[in-house]
Amino acid sequence: MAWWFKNAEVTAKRFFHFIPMTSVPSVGQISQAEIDSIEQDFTQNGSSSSSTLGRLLDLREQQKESIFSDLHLLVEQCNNKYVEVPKTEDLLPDDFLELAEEFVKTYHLLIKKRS
Amino acid sequence: MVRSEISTLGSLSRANLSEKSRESNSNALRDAIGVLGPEVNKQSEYLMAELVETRSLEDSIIIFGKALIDFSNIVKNSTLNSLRHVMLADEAYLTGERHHDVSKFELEQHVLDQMKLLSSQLKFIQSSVGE
Repeated sequence: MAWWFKNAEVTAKRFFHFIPMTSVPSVGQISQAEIDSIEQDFTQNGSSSSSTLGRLLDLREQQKESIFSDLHLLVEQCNNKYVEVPKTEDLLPDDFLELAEEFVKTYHLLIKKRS
Repeated sequence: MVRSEISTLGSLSRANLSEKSRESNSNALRDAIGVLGPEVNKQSEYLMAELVETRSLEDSIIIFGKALIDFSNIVKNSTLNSLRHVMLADEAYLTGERHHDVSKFELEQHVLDQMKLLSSQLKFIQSSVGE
């Protein structure tokens, strides 16, 4: 489990790296083949161990981090002494934060049920 | 030309800028718009095509993972699209020119539809794992 999920106070803005980003998204090796294998294994056998489910959640988190790492790099290239990138909340409608909060809530629920 | 409510120019006002500063700002904006150019048209394929009835913790986690990736891509792409619109409006403000695509940023219908699907999916997962 990613370290920030051990902290019950994690916010949706932080989890989805809203600008200004308070932490740099981590970039790791992501294995799509491993994700496919776990999902296929479940489809065929109908059940998976708790550790396998945890691994799947970790892999999806890494994928999410990779997406925000791309965004971070692009935003960094735009930010300079003349251009100040606005906050995500100013760039996107409120619905985004509301849905992001639902994602974090659901994630906590799944972690709790898995353990 | 009226300045947009959201801007990348901080508190800068065109009236207070020298021609040289205006040109430097404008060049920086053009460079940044150029950086985003190839990115804004990239469209990730959605992993979730329809609402899935999850019946176990296992399939809730599988479906949640797909929804998480869809939403992350939507946040990234929508942020870049909106940022590009803001920068185009700023550039138009600085140069006093009109841009043909400086219209108010609006999410495309497929994005709105996908967000609605993801919201419904989360509610289904929450209820299926017994919130």
